[in-house]
Amino acid sequence: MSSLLTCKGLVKSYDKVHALDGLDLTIQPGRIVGLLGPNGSGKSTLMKLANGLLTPTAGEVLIDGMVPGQETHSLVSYLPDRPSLPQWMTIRQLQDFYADFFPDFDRTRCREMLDRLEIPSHRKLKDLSKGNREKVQLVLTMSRQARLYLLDEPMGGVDPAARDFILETILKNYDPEATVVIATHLIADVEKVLDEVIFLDRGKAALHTAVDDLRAETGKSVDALFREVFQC
Amino acid sequence: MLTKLMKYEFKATARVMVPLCILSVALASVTQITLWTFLDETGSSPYSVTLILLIATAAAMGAVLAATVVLIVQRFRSNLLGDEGHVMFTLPVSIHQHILAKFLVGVFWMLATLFVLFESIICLGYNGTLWMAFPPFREALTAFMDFITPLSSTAPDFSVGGSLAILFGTVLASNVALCLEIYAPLALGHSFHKHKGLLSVAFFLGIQGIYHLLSGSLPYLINFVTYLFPTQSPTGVYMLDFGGSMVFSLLWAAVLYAITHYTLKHRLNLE
Repeated sequence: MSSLLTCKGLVKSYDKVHALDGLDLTIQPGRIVGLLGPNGSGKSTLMKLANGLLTPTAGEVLIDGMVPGQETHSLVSYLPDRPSLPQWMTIRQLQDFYADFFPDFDRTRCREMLDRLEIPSHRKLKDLSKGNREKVQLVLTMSRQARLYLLDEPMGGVDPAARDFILETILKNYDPEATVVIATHLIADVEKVLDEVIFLDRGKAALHTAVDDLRAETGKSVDALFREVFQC
Repeated sequence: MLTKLMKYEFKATARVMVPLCILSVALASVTQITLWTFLDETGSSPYSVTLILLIATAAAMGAVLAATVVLIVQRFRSNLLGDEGHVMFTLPVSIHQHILAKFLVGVFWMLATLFVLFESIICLGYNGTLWMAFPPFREALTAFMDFITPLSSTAPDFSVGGSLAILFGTVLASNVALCLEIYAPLALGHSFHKHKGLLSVAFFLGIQGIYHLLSGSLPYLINFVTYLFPTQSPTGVYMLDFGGSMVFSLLWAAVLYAITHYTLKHRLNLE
């Protein structure tokens, strides 16, 4: 099976600091992968490199064998770690925007999720609360039928109840052929849905294994092991 | 995809520009009526109202001009190089399409602004004699007519319409270059890790310096071409002057476009 996301000796440096330091990684289709690591471990940098928002200092990142660009953007649905949607648009206009650019955008699915969150379509994004804005961004991202979902801190700024909704949204809209990569440090919340985990430590993959294998081998939860590995 | 990008770019900019343009023309029209009644024999419009309206019209015209420049800078900076860039640069569109969408809409608003300012001035001087009474307007009009009249009289191949077309072409070419003179330094400045705003300004000043150096040598180049290919025809001379200026602006714009495209494609840095 060909890999969907590949990193070969990937390096990204800011001045003299290596955010990613020779990362080698392969992620297969049909998996839900947790990209876990403390702050500054390189999670967001990897997400951005995979989306072509940054250029590698050395090495390469490939999406389905291609360098990130116009073609890979139609395969990848990306949730950035910050509010990135135009604030002046209404929710309806944002749906039109996604439908215009992404043929795989499922408007019905999107409307159902927004109805469940009781977010009216006529409201402007800037008039919503911070949490609701994040939910709208997630809903739009998950309403695409993409092959690879790259979710950067999808639960960063929302309450615990909303976190359950987000996980449910990810699982409900997850196509078994697609891959979901979730970058987070809120491990306890995501652990139950993960197939694989990657521990990212100072720009390198310290661990990449199946969650079931990890539990069987160590007898610990992912959260417990994470705390042990990244103990300050 | 370019048309879709342009559609959203128009929506984003029109919500600011359209009300301002309407306000400018409307205020100019109202001021013109008030001025007219103030200056006629009855003097039915009070002086203070006329003065306030004149100031308001001038402010609205200034606001249209300022908004155009601010929007061109801001749309490129925040929509592509700021947080919104995380969504924009993950759309399945090419870098060319991103630049062209911003650029075409930017040039449209530049030309629309020139039109609105011209229209507002025309409104203010409804019956012609009124704005002839004001020295700055009179001087501007005289300078414009001095430019157009000899062009059409000494170069018989040129009609007044032809002269205006050449003038429009030159203005369009310089607007095209001006828009890219904003984009290129922004793209370059934001490709660095730190001090992005400061570096953008530095690149802007650097690019302006190079432009003035090159444009300063343009008359010598045209003289050299005239020396190599002597022409006595006024039409030929005008064609060389305006054509040379237009071609220079377009070549300059092409260089800036290439810089912008290369930077966004190979040095994009949305940290």
